[in-house]
Amino acid sequence: MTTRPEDLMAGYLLGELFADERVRIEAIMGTGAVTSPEEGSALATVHSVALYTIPTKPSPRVRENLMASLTGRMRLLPFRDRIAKFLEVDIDSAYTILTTVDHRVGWTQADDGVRTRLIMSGRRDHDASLLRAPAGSVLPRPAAGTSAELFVLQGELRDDEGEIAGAGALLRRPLGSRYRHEVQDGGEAIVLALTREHADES
Amino acid sequence: MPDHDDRAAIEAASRGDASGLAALYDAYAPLLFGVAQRILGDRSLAEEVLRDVFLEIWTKSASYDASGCSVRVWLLMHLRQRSLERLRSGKVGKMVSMEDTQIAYVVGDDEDPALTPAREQIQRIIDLLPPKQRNMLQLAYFEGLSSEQIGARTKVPTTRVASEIANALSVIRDAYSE
Repeated sequence: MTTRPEDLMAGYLLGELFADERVRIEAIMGTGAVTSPEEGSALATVHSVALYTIPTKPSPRVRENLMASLTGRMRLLPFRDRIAKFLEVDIDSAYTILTTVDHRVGWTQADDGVRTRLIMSGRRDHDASLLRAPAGSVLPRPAAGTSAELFVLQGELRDDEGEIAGAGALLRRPLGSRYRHEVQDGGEAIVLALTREHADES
Repeated sequence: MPDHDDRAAIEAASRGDASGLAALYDAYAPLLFGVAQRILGDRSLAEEVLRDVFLEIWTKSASYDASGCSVRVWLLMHLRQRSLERLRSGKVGKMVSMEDTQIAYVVGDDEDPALTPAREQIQRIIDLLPPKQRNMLQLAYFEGLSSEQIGARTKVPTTRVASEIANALSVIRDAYSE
């Protein structure tokens, strides 16, 4: 006998689910993905109960504080999960890396204003660095014998062919590539660069 | 806010565009805050939970599956879960009797008018449920009580609580259309 969606949702409301059902709910909270239209419909029914309340505006300062966080120190957090995959680290480490972007110390600065901060060295033959580059500057090319992948966190980069890459884009600079990436007008670019040495191939 | 606009807003948030989350906040903050206040009975705590939920959604926005549940349901899942966790942390001195929480047809001007028809409809449907069933549903949704706790409060055998709530949800599903 299969469980009716309403029975499953009653268990959800009562906090009385089997372990596998709890895992399903946690998965839905993670991504919103449902396994069937019936599951999505059952959740919509359960949460229609939320409308049995009095809508109330929160204080304007809640929105102000939220927006200050979203445009301030938490602005890069939508990239947390992708950075965790990109660097093959857990999400807490990815969170920490993204929040070091605004640290004032630990950066080295080149002549054209591009600042670099090493965040991981020698892990699986990779080095990872954060770059902060002002508008008009050019990102440093990979050293001889290295390849690089760039994850754009903020700003826009333009390559030699005129292609523009914005926040969230992943760019590859294979071994031997002479690609040049220039930061577009409109603000500073923040990039996470993963470089790999190819000692045997150089 | 129409569903496709919600999805566009969360997609913008996933690219680090704060205006996407701002659009969701403007559309749903009154609904979510109303629910958080109902659960917590404390304006200041409800505001904290509301902010935390939007920050959580901001962080998870790139993982959202647009083919899954609606953004509104996803927000409500987080809001209810985080509010109940706060309630159970023992730092909330909530004291609301079910008799006091019966609401009339409330459509304030605090809310996105797009939600008004759904709110009016759900209020009518729930008001037509048998009183004990309605109370059980609310005790489960807004207080997060277990079958045993709800049975004790409503003087209904514990073994019947889940089936009564399931029946209430079945009635809502059949009667409610957006």
